[in-house]
Amino acid sequence: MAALTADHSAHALQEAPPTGLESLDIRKLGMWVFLGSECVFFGALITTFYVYRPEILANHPEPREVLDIPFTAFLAFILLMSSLTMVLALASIQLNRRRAGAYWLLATAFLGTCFLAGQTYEFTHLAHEGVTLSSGVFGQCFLILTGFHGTHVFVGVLWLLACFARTLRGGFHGGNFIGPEIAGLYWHFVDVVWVAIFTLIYLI
Amino acid sequence: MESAFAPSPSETQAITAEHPVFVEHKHPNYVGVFALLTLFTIIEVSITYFPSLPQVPLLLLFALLKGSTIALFYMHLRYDSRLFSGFFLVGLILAASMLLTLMALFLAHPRLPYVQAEQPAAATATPAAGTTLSTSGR
Repeated sequence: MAALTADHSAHALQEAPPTGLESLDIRKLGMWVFLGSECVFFGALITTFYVYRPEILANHPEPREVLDIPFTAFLAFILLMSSLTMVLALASIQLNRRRAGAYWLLATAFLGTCFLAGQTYEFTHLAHEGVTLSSGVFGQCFLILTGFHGTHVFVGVLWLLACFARTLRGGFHGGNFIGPEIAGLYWHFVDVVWVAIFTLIYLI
Repeated sequence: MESAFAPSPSETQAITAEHPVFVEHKHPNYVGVFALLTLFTIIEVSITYFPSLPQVPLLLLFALLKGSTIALFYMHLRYDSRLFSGFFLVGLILAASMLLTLMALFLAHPRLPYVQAEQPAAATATPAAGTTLSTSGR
């Protein structure tokens, strides 16, 4: 790679970047294709909920009355905050602030863990209310949908911890940040899915 | 929108010496985007406390705004190749089409009201005095 010129600015570029399809990182492209497939996956789960919605409303109070909306809104806020810390982590690593980037990654993982703790509390509370996987259509549809989302968050937390460790060891830096960038795409997608679930399942 | 991530002069020298920096695009104001997303969330939850408002269109609108804001600024779709946006949009369109199609298929026509299946009778009923259970079907 060409060295930087004497004019050192934060946004100094190396030689002119390549254009066209050859400039695309195949790993990043692969993640976007995967995220497209994940849209279909979660779309199928949400579709199932809506197809069974008449049965749910006929035999069950409206979901909005059973689910704790203010608590879930707080969980949504936590996930939004984790998206902020994730993007700050990537920006820091891109600017070679490895230590700051690593600790932003750790903060993201921590917030993801807080979200999972909140989900666990919610599932426990619902179980006490009689909403379980075997309690009926609502329990099955709701818990499978949110359970799969929680699983994605859990996988994301593990991934972020791995990125954190590697960043601290110097594996990711301004010249190589594709790892945190792809992890960030996955994490932001998990947040987008929660935005959809919160609106379509909890609020509507 | 510039962000406050510009390194100090000494950090810039370290950048030069250690690793070259390749910056693909400027960083937007991420904290400002977060504030906007929080505001959208507050508005969304507030809408549910006013039943007189058109709930479904407003909630869908704000969900769309939040999702697209995250995709454009946090996932950098605004600055990246259109190919990435294309792959993501294809998935979204397929998911939305599936939702609308299946909802139209299953919910468009009125169906018989859902009735919980009755519990089957006990397997062995106690026979009345002087009678026997017939299993021949006659």
